[in-house]
Formats: sequence, C-alpha cells, structure tokens
Amino acid sequence: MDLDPALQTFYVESREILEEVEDILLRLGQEDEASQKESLNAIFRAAHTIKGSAGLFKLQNIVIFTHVVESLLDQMRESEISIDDDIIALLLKCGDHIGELVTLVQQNNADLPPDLKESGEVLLAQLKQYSGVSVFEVKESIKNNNGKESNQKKSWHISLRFGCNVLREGMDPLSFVRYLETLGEIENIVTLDDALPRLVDFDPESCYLGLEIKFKTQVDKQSIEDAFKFIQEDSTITILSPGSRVSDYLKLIDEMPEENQRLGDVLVQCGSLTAAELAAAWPQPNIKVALNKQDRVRMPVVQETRSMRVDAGKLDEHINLVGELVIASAGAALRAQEMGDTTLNELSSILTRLVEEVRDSALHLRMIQVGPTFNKFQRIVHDMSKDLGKEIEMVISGADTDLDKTVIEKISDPLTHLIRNSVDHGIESPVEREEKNKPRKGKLYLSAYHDSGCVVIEVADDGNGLNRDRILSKAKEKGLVREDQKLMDKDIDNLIFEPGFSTADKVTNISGRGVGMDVVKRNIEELRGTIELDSRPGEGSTFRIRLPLTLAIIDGFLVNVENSSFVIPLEMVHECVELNGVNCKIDTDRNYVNLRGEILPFIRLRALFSTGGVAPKRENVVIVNYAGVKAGLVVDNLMGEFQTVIKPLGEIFSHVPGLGGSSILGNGEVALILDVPGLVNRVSSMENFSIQSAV
Amino acid sequence: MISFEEQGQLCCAQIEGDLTIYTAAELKSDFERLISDQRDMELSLANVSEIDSSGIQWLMLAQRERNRQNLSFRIIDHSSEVLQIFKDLDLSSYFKEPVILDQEKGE
Amino acid sequence: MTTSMAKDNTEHAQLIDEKMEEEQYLTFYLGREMFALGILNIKEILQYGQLTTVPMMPAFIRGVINLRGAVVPVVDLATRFSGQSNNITKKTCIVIIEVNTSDGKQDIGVVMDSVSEVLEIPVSDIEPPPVFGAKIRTDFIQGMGKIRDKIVIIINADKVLSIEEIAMLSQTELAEKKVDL
Repeated sequence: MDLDPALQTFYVESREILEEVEDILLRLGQEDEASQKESLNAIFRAAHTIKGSAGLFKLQNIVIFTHVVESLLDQMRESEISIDDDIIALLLKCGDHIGELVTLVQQNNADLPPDLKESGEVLLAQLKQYSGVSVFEVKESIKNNNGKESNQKKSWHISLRFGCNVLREGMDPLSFVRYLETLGEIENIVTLDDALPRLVDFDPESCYLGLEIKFKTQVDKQSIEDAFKFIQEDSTITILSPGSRVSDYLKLIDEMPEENQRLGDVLVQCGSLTAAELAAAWPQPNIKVALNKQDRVRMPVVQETRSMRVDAGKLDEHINLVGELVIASAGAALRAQEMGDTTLNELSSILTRLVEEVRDSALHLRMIQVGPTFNKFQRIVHDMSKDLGKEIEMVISGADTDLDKTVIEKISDPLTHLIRNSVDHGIESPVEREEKNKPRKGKLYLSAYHDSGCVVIEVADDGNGLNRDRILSKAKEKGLVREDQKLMDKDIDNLIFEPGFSTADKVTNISGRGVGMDVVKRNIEELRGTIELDSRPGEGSTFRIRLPLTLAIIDGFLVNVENSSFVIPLEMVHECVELNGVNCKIDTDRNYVNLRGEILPFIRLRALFSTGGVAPKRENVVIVNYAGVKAGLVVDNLMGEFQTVIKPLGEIFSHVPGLGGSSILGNGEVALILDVPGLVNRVSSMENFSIQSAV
Repeated sequence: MISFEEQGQLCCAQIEGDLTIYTAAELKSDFERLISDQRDMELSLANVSEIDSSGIQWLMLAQRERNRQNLSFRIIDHSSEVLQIFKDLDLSSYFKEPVILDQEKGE
Repeated sequence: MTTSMAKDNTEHAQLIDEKMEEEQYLTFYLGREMFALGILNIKEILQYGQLTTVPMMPAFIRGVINLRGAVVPVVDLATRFSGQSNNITKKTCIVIIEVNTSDGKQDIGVVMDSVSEVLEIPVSDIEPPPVFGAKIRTDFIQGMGKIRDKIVIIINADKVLSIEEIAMLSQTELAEKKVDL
C-alpha cells in the first residue's frame, strides 16, 4: 500500500497549474480589461485548487502561503487593486515560491530551510502591502474554518459514493471529511454501509463507503468540488447547492444505488430534506421510480477520460518491444518470400502492414507538443529583458507541433542558449532601437513547423544581426581563419559555431559563460539534427534547427560493401549513380568524380573501412548531401530503402567517427548506420593530416 | 492482530496496533473468526493506535454481519483516535452501544 | 547451441556462501592452451556466426552480434592476449559475459576456440599469478588454478574486457590509422 500515487498526482498537477499561471501572468500586462478579468479568475481558481489539494494532504506551509496569495488575487478580481508590472512580478515570484514548497514536500523535507523561509516571509510582507492580509490573520482564519460571518454560510448537500480503489490509491474518505471541516461546518453526516458486501465477498482493501453530508459553508461550489478532484474519476460525487428543490433531491435519490425509501430516510436524517417534504413527494411508496430503477442495469457510469498518465519508462519499454516486432516481422517476411508460398506471402504482407501501423501509433505515443517547452521561454525572456532594461515581446507560433519527448527534453538547453543570445546580443536597447528608427520593443519569434519529414524550430529576432567584422577579427585572432583568407558572408556567420568561439565583447552573466555555440551545434547534431543561421545586418538573425521526428526509428538506405551492410540516413541521400557510368566519370586518380560537369569528392568505403576483398566490376556511388555539402560514397551494391529501429552501439564504439548506431536487418544480421557528417569530417581531416605531413 | 480471550459465554477480543489500509488485509482471518464466533462478543479498541476508513469498514461489517446472525457485538474502550473518527462520521448510533469514555469505565 | 547455464546458476550461486561462489569455472581453449573463467558472469554460450565487423577497430574487436535484439560487441580473446587470432572452426564459440563497467553492467561476447567443461577449483588449489612468465599481462590473471596436475590461467574478466580500456585502445587505433591514408 502506498500513499504515493495521489501525492505524485498532486506534484505533477501543481506544477502544471503553476506553469499555466505563469503563462497567464506573462500575458496579463498586455491584455484588455475584459480578458484581464477572465485571466484573473483563472489564476484565482488555480491558486484555490492548489490550496485545496495541499489542504487535503495537510501541507500547511503551502496552504497558508497560497491563501495569502489568493486573498490578493481576490482583491484584484474585485478591482480593488489594479494590475501593474510590479504586482505581476510579485505574483510570478509567489508562483515560484509555491513551486519550491511543492518540491520541498516531494523531497520529503518536513522543515522549511532558512533561506526558503526567509524568501517566503519577504514575499508575504510584500503581499501584505497590497492586500493588507497578514499571515497571522490567515492562520487564524484557517483555524476558525475560514470563519467569516456565519450569515453568509449556506447549507449544501454533498452525496459521496467512493470508488472501490480510493483506499488503495492512498485516499481516505475520512480525510475528505476532515478537509470539509476546514472549509465550513458539517451539520450532519450519515455513513452508508449499503454497499458493504457479505463477508465472503469483502475485500478489505476496497472501499465501500458512502457519505451523505449536510454542509454549511460560505465557499463556492468550485471549492467544494476541488476537494474531491482526486477522486472524481471513479467516485460518484453529487453536490446540491443551497436552495435546491425537492425534485433535485428526488433525482439524487433516484440516481443512487441504494433503495429509494432508505436514501430518503437518510436525507431526512441528514436534515437536508424534511420528513414532510419527502412524504409530499412520495404519497405512497413510489412504484414507478422503483420500477425504473430495477429496469436500469446497474452499471457504473462510464467516465469519459480524455487523457491518462503513463510512466515514460513503460512507454519506452513498449516502443522497444514494437521495435523488436518490426525486426521479427521483417525476418518472417523475408523467409516467406524465400519459400514462395503465395498464401504465406499474402499473410506476411498483411502482418507487415499491421506491424507498421502499430509502430507508427506507438511512436506517436511519445510525441508531445512543443508548446509547454516554448512557454517556459516566455519567463526567461521576461526576466532577462527586465534585468537588461530591454523591451522584448516574444511571439510563439506552432506551439501545437508534435515532437518526440526525448528530442524536446534535449532541445530545451540549446534553445535556451539561442534565446538568451538573442535577448542579450541580438536585440538592442530601446534607445538604440529608436535611434535606428525601429520600434522600441524588440520582437523575438519562436516557431515550430513541419517540413518534409522533419520538424523545424526557428529562433528569430529583429535585432542587430551578427557583427561580421567583429566575428572575422575574432576568428583571425583565434587562428580559426588566416589573415589573408577571403570568406563569404555565410561562412563568416558560421564561424560562431566553431569550437572556442564567443563573440560578446563584454562577458555578461547571461550569455558568454563559456558555453559557446559549438556546444549548441553539437547538442543538435547528437539528435541527428542540423542548425543553420541566417543573419541580416541591422535587421535581425534567424537560427533554424531541423530535427528528426523521432530518435527511435530511421528511414535508411541500405548499401553493401564486401560482406557488410550499411545504412545511410535517407534524408541525406541525394541520388545514386553508377561509378563510371554515363553521368559519373572518374577523371583522374584523385578522389573526385565528374558528375554531369560538377566536381564531386567521394569516399571509397571499401578503402576507408579496409574491408579487404576485391571491388566488383560495377561500383555504385551514393551521393549524399548534408548542410549544403555534397559528397559521394562508393559502395558495392545498392539494396534500397528500408525503415529501421536504431540500436545504440555502446561505449566501445562511441569514439568511432562515421558510425551513428546500428540496426538489425530482417535476417538477424546487424547493419551499421553511417553518420555522414562524421564520415566526411573524418576523411577531410585525414586528408589534411596527410597533406600536412607530406609537406 | 486480534487476540481472543474466552470468558464462558463471553468472548473478549482486543485489537492490537493499527486498523488501517496497511493492515486491513492481514486482519481478514481474525475478523472472520470475530464475525462467526457464536458467543457474545466484546471488542476492545483500547490499543488501536491508528484507524482509518478501511478500519471503520471492518467494524461496520462486523457489526452488520453479527446483527444479521442475531449475535451480540459490543465495541468497548474506544481509544481517543477511534472516538474522533466516530464523531467525524457520526457513527456512535451505528455501533448501538453507547460510547463510554475512559474515565467512566471500571468504576 | 545455446546452453542456458546462465541465470539459474547465477541466482543459485549467489545464495551460497561467498567463498563457494568462485569455485566453479568454465574451462576453454585458445589454441592449445587451456584457460578458466568464473561462471558467475557467464550468461550463455553461442555458436560462432553472423558477426558484423565494425570498421576502424583494433583487431581484437571482432565486431558485433545480434543477441535477441540487443547489439553486443564481440572480443577475440586470443588476439587480445597474443595479438594473433586463430581460425574459426566448428568448435568456435561466442561466450556472452556480463562485465561491470563504471556505469552499470554490460554484455560482451568473447570468442573462444572451444569450451571444455565446468569444473570446481577449490580456493586452496588456486595460486597467485607469477610475476612474469605467463606471457599475458598479469592484471588479466585472477589466479593460477590446479586441475588434475595441470595448471590453467584463471582470467579476470572485468580487466580483460574493461570497456574503458577497450574504448581507449580503439581510439588510439583510430588516431594511428589517420596516417595510413
């Protein structure tokens, strides 16, 4: 038995709620009055939910702090306090503080560490300046059941039938009763044993209890509902508001599984209905209602759940298994083909198709939207621009673009770096911008979209663009470029991706902390992605990141050298030609060919990999294209396109440039996946090395 | 764990330790015996340190099943923890015997 | 020929007292010389076959195989010890061994010319390795076991198959290859 699942849900949900609140807060300043009102309501509800859930788990620190925030929000909602940048900044900090408190609970720390306590007190003092509500008052009011004037209190009726798993999931009906007691006063409560089975059928860990509660409180329906948020999925919860008609109660009686007469009595016992009201409603035992009830099949109400949480590890395991399935089915298909049995072939092709569908849907499970990650940057931009005295508006588009979860996790750091760079170096200060006849407020665009099987993420700004002179002089200073070397603009721009390059003249604490763009580039390449840069001096720059949709599967082109099979990522394959065919002549004994007049360097995989053996009469060239560089790979045979699951090669082979992983073919054989950029780099560095040593 | 002590026609049972979801399953055989014992049953909750809804369910089940068989069942010596829950859920009338506070017993 | 001596034995052995643990050894041949290896880390024995060579690696790394969906590197022990590999015969096996690395356990395949039998070598019959004369790096040797008046080298799998060292060696190999082209 474990209390954890419910708490885990609390952690996750609180975080999600806090993230939402952050988004709303960041938008709040720019909104018109009507939408501000709506946003404030949303924030208020969010704070309320967190407070309510925290109360359920007896997390007093969170309850008290959130309550103060909530009071302020309430006053803002009532327009008693106006919205300005300072209050938004304060609320943002409060959100962070609540997040830290949640983390603390998650780490099982009962005591507040002094620094957190102190920062909390500072925030509370600031909050008090606005709202006039102090912690002391809050503590008192929480103690007194939020005891405002009792004339505002109204009687509600709450009817609860707990789902059979609530105890197993760490929820105790009692804790709900106790939580309700903090919200108001339980006037009457009746515990129902009707669902308790006979001893033989009794499962001690299942919950069979039902409660009928007459509850007097001044809080609104939402707050009462929030108390039951964690059990609403499989429990039946009915909340009748004050002043509900007798017919509403009759409906409740009708919907509940217990005998009508019995439940009627219970409600009378509760004080929610009077005996006279009931007698008037049911002149005689109500046969019709009773019959209706018998007719109805006693089926638990099927709850429509739109999503469910699944452990990421389970998902990965599932996808691995599907990967195995793909390999096994490819093996079966191969064998079926060899046997030449028509029926078997048909069956196997159906199987192959189904397996492919299963694989696609499995991979889809890992896809999540980039939105939440993007929104995280709102905050970074907001805070940074404040620190730097800049005015920046961030424009997000394509937040609903799906991307593999791992890719999203790993892209977050490089993106942070690019965005920090744009804010720090790209966008100018308001004064500078005005001098250039640009609007004071700079714009930072973060967008995602699909493009031919890849996902493209763009970070663009309307700032100053790259300073080519400075880049060039710096590159010369660092020996990356020779003094007399002439470079195209694009080549100069791309120098910033060179290892050990950092352009900022003054090193601020924001960027330029030693991690350069080369790391960004490497991180992206590790994801099998590419990054390109487009800079227009004075107008701004755009970084464009291309990423594969998923890391688990690769569309490959299978080739063969001697007895080994290699997979070349299909997106890099430009075309295939026969070596020394009509279109492709070797002019000299150098390592380049004449491809329809174009000079194309090539690599003989046979030589590079020292496979031994003799080259066949007809060799083929696979022309690959990556980041604008074209090269040919000379192989023996072309085996065709092929989609495959990527298997990591392990640490032993991690230093081998040119190998990106491995994959298992239908016949069980392992094929190595070529890492084209690595391969080309290796060959060119080897050539440089031998040229230099020859001199 | 429930210990049983026979005193002629009366059986005095006593629950030791927790009566919670963590122990609910372990107590099954003990409760089976408690429910089916044909003698008058007195169950002491003096040593129950913790009790939750699953414990309440056991007690309610015991009460109901013994009522059904016309066997007597009396809960005695409620610990303060138990008293609180009985109050929260308004259960004292369910377990018909009047709740006797500690000070009054044994006089 | 998959002998599933692996798991059951391992689990069983772990229950037994520590000293007993290392008393069972798999003996095998490299060329005409007999070696022994503690059976605890041995997961299974496979017939040699369907091996994919990985280019640009030192000679003692034969390549990789597909072990039920996992890609496992294969090391040639004879080459690792003496720099010379032996011919593949019908008796050549790949023994899958689980080795400890800095970040967890990893499976490695080891090529043996033939496997012989599983024997008990009591601790009393194991001598420390000689300072020299074994023609094998001493840190590769766990001890010298006496079996029926014969002496076999008991190899230290974690050292011989150290992932860190192998990775480093292959890196050096690559650096040297640069000059070749």
